[in-house]
Amino acid sequence: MVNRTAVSKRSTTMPVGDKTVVLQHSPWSAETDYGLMSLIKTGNKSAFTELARRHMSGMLSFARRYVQRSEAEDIVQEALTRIWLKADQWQDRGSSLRSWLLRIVYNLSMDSLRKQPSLSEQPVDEQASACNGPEQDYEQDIKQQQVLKAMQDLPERQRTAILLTVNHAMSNREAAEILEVSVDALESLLSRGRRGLKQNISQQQEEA
Amino acid sequence: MAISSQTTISVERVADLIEAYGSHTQCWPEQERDAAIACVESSVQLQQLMHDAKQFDEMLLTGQVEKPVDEVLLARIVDQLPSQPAVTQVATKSGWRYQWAAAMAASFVGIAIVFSVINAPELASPNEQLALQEMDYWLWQEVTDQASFDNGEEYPTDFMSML
Repeated sequence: MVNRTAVSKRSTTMPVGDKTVVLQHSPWSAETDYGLMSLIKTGNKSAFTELARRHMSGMLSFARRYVQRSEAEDIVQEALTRIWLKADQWQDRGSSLRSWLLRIVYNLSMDSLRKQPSLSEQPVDEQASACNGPEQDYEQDIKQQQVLKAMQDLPERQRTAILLTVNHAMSNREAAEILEVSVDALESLLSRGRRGLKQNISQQQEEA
Repeated sequence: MAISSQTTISVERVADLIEAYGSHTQCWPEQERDAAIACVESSVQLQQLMHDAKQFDEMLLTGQVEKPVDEVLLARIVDQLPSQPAVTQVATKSGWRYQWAAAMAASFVGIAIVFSVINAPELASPNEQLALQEMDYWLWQEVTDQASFDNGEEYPTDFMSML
């Protein structure tokens, strides 16, 4: 663990509604995720903030592949709140904390889709909107839109398998764990997903 | 499916891996990875597949940028955190105490059993038991011949029938 006296105690204030919240700045930046979880078990909010800071963006972009922005934010909040409340149940069983977090986000996203199935049909354009600056190459933008559309047209399980291994660089075991399938089944999902993706993209290119 | 890195791997299997996981070898199954990478290095056909897969992976990652942390969302989450369940913490702590006490008690009982088994007198054989009974009888007769009870009643001499 990091020596508490050796770390700086910087903080920033952030307006939330009509009040201001003070966010501690990385007092545990050198701590591992497992170390942070041990601290969170004791009710350490500063350690929780560090853990959330590390994983929030990945969780948010993962959730955004399934649901709209505001819904994705709620899902990330719910997932992190669960970590806070159930920290004492956390056990290091060999899988990474990141895969545990993404698994919660995935399950919550699926719950959300089941409640509002129409959302799954809506294309998610987060990446496109993030790269619409004037310096962006037009061709790259088109290609990106095609990939996003092709991904969106994939069956949900195949899409998730590709997202986890390609976009989130997860190992086969971690991705299989999140999808709750065997490694062999994951491989099958990935093969079919990548084939489908190539097909969808070439179809779009022909139409264009 | 599990193939040791010691064993060879077929070209078809490596082609399957490339098709499933793409060019990111860190995603390939750990137990097959080394053999598969070695196989790619020695096959022109697989190198071409890897090249195509790499291009496809790059296309999938087009425009993917590392986004900065949404500080406003982070502040909202931290601000709205409920208090951790104190009951659970207390229960866990007291549960731990109970477990500790139970473990101690079990240890004592275990030690006592082991100690008593080790120090238990060996059981006499039937012949030895008979000899002991005869000795008891003889000693008892010696005592009862000389003594009587406080109420004047003699101790029954036919007590062997009571055994």
